[in-house]
Order: sequence, then C-alpha cells, then structure tokens
Amino acid sequence: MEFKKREISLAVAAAMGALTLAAVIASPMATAAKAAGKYVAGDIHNHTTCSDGAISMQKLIKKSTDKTETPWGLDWFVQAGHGGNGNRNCSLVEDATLETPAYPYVVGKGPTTTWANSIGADKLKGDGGGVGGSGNMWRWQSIQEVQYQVVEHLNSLKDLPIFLGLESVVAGHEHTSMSVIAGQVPAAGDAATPLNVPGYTPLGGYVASGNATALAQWSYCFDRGDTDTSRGNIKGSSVGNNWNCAVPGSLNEGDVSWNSTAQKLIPAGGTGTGNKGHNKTVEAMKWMKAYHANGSYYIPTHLERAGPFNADGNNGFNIEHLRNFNNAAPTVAFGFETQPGHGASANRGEYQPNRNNFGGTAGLVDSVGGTTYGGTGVYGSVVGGVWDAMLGEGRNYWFLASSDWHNRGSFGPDDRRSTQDFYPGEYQRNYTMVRSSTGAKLTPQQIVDGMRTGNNFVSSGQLIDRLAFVACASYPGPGARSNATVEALALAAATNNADIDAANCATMGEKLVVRPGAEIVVTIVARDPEGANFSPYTFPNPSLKQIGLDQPLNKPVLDHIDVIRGLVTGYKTPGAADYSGEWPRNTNWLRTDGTTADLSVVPAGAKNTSASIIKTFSGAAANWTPVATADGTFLKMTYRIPAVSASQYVRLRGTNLPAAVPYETDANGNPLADLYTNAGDTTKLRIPCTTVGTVLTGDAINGCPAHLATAGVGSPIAGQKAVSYDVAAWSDLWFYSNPIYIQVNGSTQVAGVQ
Amino acid sequence: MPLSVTTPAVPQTSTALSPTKRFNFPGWMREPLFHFVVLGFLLFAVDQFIVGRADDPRTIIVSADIDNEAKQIFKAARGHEPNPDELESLRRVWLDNEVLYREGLAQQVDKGDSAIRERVIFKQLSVIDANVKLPNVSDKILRDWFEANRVKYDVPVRYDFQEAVLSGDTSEAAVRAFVAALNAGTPGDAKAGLRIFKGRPHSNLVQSYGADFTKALEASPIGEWRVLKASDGWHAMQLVSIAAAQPADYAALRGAVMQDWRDAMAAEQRSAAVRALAKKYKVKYEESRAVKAESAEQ
Repeated sequence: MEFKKREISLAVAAAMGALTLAAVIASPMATAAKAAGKYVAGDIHNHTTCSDGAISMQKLIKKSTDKTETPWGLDWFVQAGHGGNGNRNCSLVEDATLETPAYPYVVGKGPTTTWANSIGADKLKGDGGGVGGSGNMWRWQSIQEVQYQVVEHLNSLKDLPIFLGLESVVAGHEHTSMSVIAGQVPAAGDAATPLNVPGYTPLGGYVASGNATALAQWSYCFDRGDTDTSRGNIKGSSVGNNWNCAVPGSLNEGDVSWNSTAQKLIPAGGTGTGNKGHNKTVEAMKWMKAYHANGSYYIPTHLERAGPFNADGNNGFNIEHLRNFNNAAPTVAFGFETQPGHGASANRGEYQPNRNNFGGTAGLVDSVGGTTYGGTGVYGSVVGGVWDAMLGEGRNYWFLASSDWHNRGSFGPDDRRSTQDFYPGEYQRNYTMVRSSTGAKLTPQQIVDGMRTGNNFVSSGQLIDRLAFVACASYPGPGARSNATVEALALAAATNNADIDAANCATMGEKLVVRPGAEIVVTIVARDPEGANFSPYTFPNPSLKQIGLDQPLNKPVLDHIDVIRGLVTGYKTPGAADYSGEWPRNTNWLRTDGTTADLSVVPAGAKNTSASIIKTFSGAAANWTPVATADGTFLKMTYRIPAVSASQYVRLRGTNLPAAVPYETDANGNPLADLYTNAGDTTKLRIPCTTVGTVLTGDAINGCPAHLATAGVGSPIAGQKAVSYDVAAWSDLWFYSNPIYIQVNGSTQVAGVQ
Repeated sequence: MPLSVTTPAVPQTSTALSPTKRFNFPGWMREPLFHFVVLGFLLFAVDQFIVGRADDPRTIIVSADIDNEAKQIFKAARGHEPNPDELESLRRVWLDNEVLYREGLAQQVDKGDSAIRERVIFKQLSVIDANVKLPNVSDKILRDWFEANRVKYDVPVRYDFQEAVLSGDTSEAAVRAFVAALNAGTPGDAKAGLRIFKGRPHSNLVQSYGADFTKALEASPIGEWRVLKASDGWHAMQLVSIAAAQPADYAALRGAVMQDWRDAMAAEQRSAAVRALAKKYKVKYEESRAVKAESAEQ
C-alpha cells in the first residue's frame, strides 16, 4: 500500500512517540517483584440484544459465568456489542428465571421489544431520536444510560468481575474489541461516580454507582457506525453531554474531515474511504493514549475476515495498520484476536474464499488466508507470518481470543449443538494473569492491566487449562542453572495457577535480559485436564479416526507442544518498504485445492523468516514427564537454547492432532486450511463422520449429529455426513501462548517490553 | 357397489320434451360470446371461493394450538396456567413475532442469510428423507455390496515410522550429516524433536508427503535412518515396521455393513430425488473467477 505524505508524517510521529514512550510501557520487568496473581479465564467480545445478539445481557452473562448449570463459567467477563445503534430494549429479559430486583420480567415485554414500545420514543436522544424518529437508540446512549447499569447491577448481584466493552465498527477497517474502563465499577473505597448528565433520567431500576460515560463518548466520537452529530445530547438541543472529540496535538478542526456540528471527524465516503477511516482510527488511538493510557484497550478482532485493507472501503487490516495502532498507543493497542469466534459456523470464524466484494476491478476478495487454520487466522497461525513479524520487532503485541457469541445458528440458545457460535468460555478460553494482592473481587483495571502485560494464553476445547512457561538464564560456573531448578519453579507456578517470580527468569509477556553466551533454560509445565471437556459429543474424533486413533471428542488428549523461536531485529520504520505489506490475496495464498503458497510470496514487511519450530515435545516421543499432583497430572518438559548471541523470543503452540493428519495438519504439524471442514463449500468436505448413535440430542451425543453437512458432488466422500460446524471445531483443538522475549546485551533492544 | 340406473318414479309426459313447449331464450343468450362471459364469471367465482378459504397474507389467525403452546410454555416456566391477562400478553408476544416474521419475509430479509438458507435446505432434505424407502435386503445383496466396497473394510498395509526433526539449517547437507549421526547412534530426539507415527496407511503418506517420498519411505530398510525429500524439503526418516494388510471378515462386520448399506441406499435415493427436483429448473453457469483469471492470463 502506498501512503500519502500526510499519512507518512502521522505514522512517523506515531512511531517516534512509541520509541520515546517505550520507557513507560506498563509491562513488568522480569526481575521486578510481582504482586500475587492467578490465571483467570475471560471473554471480551460477545453480543446481546443491545446490538445483534439473540439473547439478553442477563441470559448471556448467566450462560457465560455460571459454573454449575453451564459448567464453562468464566472468571471474568466483558459484555460488548457493536457500535452504531439498536432498536431493542436490552434491559429486558426472556423469562422470570432471569429477572433481578431492578430489572423484573415483564410479561409480553421480552428482549425483542423495541425501545419505542417499552421506554417510549421520546426518550431516544440524538439525531433521529424522539417521537417520529427512527426508533433506534444510539449506542452511546444505550451504553451510558442502560447497558452499563445492567452490567454493574449483575456485577454486584453475582459478585463477579463483569464490565462493559464494545465491538467497534472501525473507521477504515472492519471490527475491533475495545473498552474504556474509566468510571466503571468503582472499587470498594473508591468514590462513587453516578451518571450525572443534564437531561438524564434513569431508564431502568438500577442506579449505578459508576458510569460508562468515557466508553459512551468514545463510541460517539470514533465508531464508524455512529453518524450522530448531536454531541451526545437530546435531539435538537444542547442539553446533554456536549461532547467534543478533539485529540490533543492533532489537527481536529483543521482536518478536512472535521464536522463542527458533531465536533468529531466524519470522513467523506467514496474514494479513499479506507485511508481516511484509518487516519480517524489512529486519532482514536491517540485519544485513548491521551486520556486513558492504562484504562483502555484496542484489540482488532477476526481481523483477517473482511480481507486485506481496502483503501476505498472498510475492510481488513494489513500489518502496517497494526503497527500504526501500536505506535500511536502502545499501552492500548497491544494485541489482536487472530483466533476469531464463530467457531461452529459453516465457515469457521466466518472466514471464507470470495467473501468480500471490493468492487471495481478487485471484485471478490477472500478473507486473508482464505479460511482459518485450525480455527486461527493466517496472521497468527503461520509460523513466520504477521504475528511473528510483529514479535520480531520486539513489540508488545499479544495473541488473544474471544467467542463473538451471537446465536446457536439452527438451534435454540439452550441447545448444546451449534451451527454458528459457542458461548463465551465454552470453547475458547483466554487465560490472563491478573494480579490482586488483596484477593478481593477483581477490578476492571486489574483485568485490563493483566491483558496488557501479555501474560496470557489461549486454549480451545480445554486442551490445556494450566500453563507455566518459563525461561531462565544459565551461565557457566556459579550462574549455572539446572533443568531441575527451573522445573521446580514452573511446577510450583502451574500447580498454584500462578506464575514465577525469580531473578533472571521470565514468563509470557516479559523479557529476560541476558549477557551474550547465556544458555536459556526453557521449561514448560502444562495440565491437560482429566475427564470430559464441554463438548456434548462422546463419539470418537473423526479426524483422528482417519489415522486409527479412537479418542472421544469430549475427551481430547494433548498430542504435542511446539516451541517456536524467532529473532528480534527492531522496529520497522514507518514509510520504509518493509513497514507495510499485504498478505497475498485469494489464490495467491490459498489455492482452490486447499493447498497454500509459502512465505516466499509474502512481502518482507509481513513476515519473519527467522521464526521456526526449535523443539517439539510429545507423549509419543516420551520427552515430557508426567507429574502426578493433588491437582491432577502435569506434563513437564525442558529445552536448553545454547549460548545466545542475538535477541529473540520463544512462544508455544500445542494441539490434540499429531502431524500428518489428513485434511487437518501437514507433515510438520502445521494446521491446514479449514477449507476441508467448512460446510460453506460442501464439495471440499473430506473427513467422513461415520459413528451411528442412539442419543442425538442433549449433552452426551454418541453419534454423528444430523446437522452435519453432507459432502457434495465432487468430494471423494460425496453423500456422506462430513466433519463440519461444531464437530469440526471440537475435532481440531489448539493452544497458543504469548512469547517470552530474550534480550541479549549488545544485541537488538526489545523496545516494546520493559 | 355396482352402479345402477333407475327409472324415475314420476312418469314423464311427452310434452316435457316437446320443442313447441320449450322456454324461448332471447337470441343473445345463444351467442358464444355470452357463453364465454358466463363461463369466465363462474370460474372467477369458484377461484375467489377457493382462494378466500386459503391463507390471506393480511390475516393472522391466533389459533387454539398457539394458545395451548403458550400455556404449556408459561406453565413450564412459572408453574401455573396463565391468567387471562397473562394469556393476552402471551398472545401479544406471539402476534408481534408473527408480524415481524411476515414483514421480514415480505421485505425478503431472509435472502442472503446463509443460516436461514441452511435451515431451509435441512428441512427440505428431511422432507425428502421421509420419503426414502429402502429396498428389501438379502444376505446375498449385502455380501455383494460388501465385496464391491471391500476397500472400506479391509485393513490396509500400515506403516510405523518416525522423523528426527532439525531446526534452523535443514539443507540436504545438514540433513545428511544428521542422518549419518543418527545411524551412528545419536538419539532421534537430539535436535528439534522426534515425531512418531504409528499405523499410518499408504493414502495418509501420499496425502501428507507426496507420492515419491512415500514410495521411497515404503522401500526403506526397516530401522535405518534415510534422507528423503518431500515437497517442503529434506527430512530424516526411519521406517520402524510394516503391518501387513488384513482382509475384512464379512461375518464379523455384518452389522456395520448393514448400516453402511442402508446409508448408501438412502444417499442414492436422496440424490436421485434431488436430481429429479432439479429438472424443474433451468441452470445457467456464469464464468467463475478462476476461469476469468485464467482467461486473462492467456
């Protein structure tokens, strides 16, 4: 992509800012004393009737946090939803089991009831509000006046860390999971900050002690779906928030896109939409850095789905856009959801060939990479790809995942089967180290701080639920460190669900500073939980059945763990040739037969060819050691990287699938394109599901369910039920850790992490 | 019961048939145009009567069935029957949803929604499935079908093998040096790890490594490390053992074969039924993107 001069100057300024600010990035020093913490599972991206979800906030939060009725209950939860507007009153519930004192069930007023038919159109603010208006409520109003109140109410009632986020409809791109937490859920002892805005009257029964005004303002100012010009006021008046979206140090009213009525940037559509939108989003980063540097996050989600960046539309993200965001606000734009939700949909993650119409000569464009790869987008799944390119610069850019819950597809919300989404926590689980010295209920700030550090791993299908990933320096002589000492540290951390705190050792998201010649002792301790996971399917995994393994779908076994290493060579310079680069689109990457090109066709800016698998541990090779503890069996393994001379990072991935499983993994254990299990093109389906069952509903389904797609004409298994939808997801499980950086004195500085 | 012709009880007089006594219709009533108009009117009336009895898209009937379902759901959730006010509210909810459903269909919001398309396909397939009638099966038919599909049941030759993985330099020279070391006693796990494969059939090897690599591996001496080339580069491989093919025993598998035969017959009939339905449609193929690209390159 070619940047215009102004864009380059913005990007340069952003990069300079990032470099000078490197000293204040809040990632912890490996050797600093750490507060106590635990890995806790949460979700930041899901939908309710506040936007386009199928169920109420109350039902989703119950489904996502209940540890008994829905046993996948999460430890913390961020309720999100798209920006823009919505017409359903999302404080209403489906039935009496979900009612709360402040929000009782009203017969005949379920969650599909419109705002106009419940609170009345006269309560709707902003452009199009009032009686005779559009009937929609701007999301800034529902966030500020309704959604936050319900969330804080449930936080209090359930005594769980629940707060509010947003899946922003991004100017210049598709979507991002984000939040501004300022004002939300005041901790015990903090002053209450109830909503106090002229013209505000409570629209529900709960008067919150905190507020989500900062998030509401961000939604008004920077979400592409928010075209309101009211400044957050009652329609046609100056009564209300009177927001001004100016960014300190930016052009603001001097920008051609500035709308003086709205007091925000409203870029014109048409040619250059993508570039103009991207510039607005970089302004959003600067606003967050200026006002909420440690109280916000910005995580592009399913970022490969909408294709590559489109200068004339609102599509995907190329690596230069991720760099621009991270440069502009390193403490805010610290990661991506390259493992999308929608894991049970016909096209896993809703990624598919020819998905996006770019118009003109570009025509139909695939999701980047065409499909997901073992459920993860091509940016995160290809060793040496976009994520490794970001890590190869030494950036704080972390791998995160979320459910993107909307609905169950062909099934009702209480069915265990799905042809669309999994509930938050049911399939993907994002484990974040959150520190709380008091042991009190976690606060939004503690959770966001945890996410920012990168001390986080992601696991699907409960493949693993505990992980200690440790790197320690060992020097010849008195500074020597044995495998046993590091393994003891890691085992203690894993059994306590905590991390290590030892000099000259580091864990995920941290950097270990060493002298040249140090040997790095890399130890992993993981728990593959015993018993069944949350899958409702008890029949043998059809993918593994291809290679003669008989393993129930709901009792997956970790097959192996790969240790991946890449070298760190420093930040790319904005405007330089290797700062930008679009991943090869369409059949230049994913061919119609499901095979892919290799990194040789990927632009230099979007890859890190030094990244490779340096060690594989597996039960078959007997190079990990099972350790029985009172808390289950843990797998312990160690690899020593000999005398290091260059800065580098190590990261992990693991799976239930051995190498060379047809249509799932290649000979080197890499995930293949999910084209072969995506029901969107039944001619490509390849893995038969043949187990005949007697129980085909409920939570112990013992045969291939009826909703699986039938392979179409052209497939070698045409006419047979094939692995697809939720069965495809449960068959193919992966975990990904975030990296540990190793900075070698005299070599490249790992500038993104302190 | 056989049909019979009975004679009218009342005697007919000859005058009844007398042309001179017939009613004299006006001449215009004998015009073909008049007959055409009358016939048309009658057809219109009959059509209106029939259509009027069918669903009027602007009429919503809240039937007793809907009331009963609403009562059951309410009772299941609340433990008692709804009172009249609550029932009225339930009807209102149903009605609101029905209005939304009809308006949605009218506005064609179902178009382009893959979830709805899949659901409709699924339901129509269920309709077709309901009409599938399997032919009678004898042991001979089943055995013949088993023999024709024996490849599905025979256990193929299976190979146990392993790969000693290098990281970094994986050039031919590096792999050859590593293989020499392996054959001299270096453990397979000495470098990036040892991948162990058990019981993999020929087809799996071809799919994952390619035909030439497979041929070379299958021909390798058991227990000896070899340098083999696949499409992605050089590998250090060792063939560990070969398990001979085992022909399937029909008698032992008869139950599974019966189920597979049923599935295959049902699939055949299902496909035939869909093909028959497809004959109602005129199918036109537009030039695909791939074809266009190829044309452009040429």
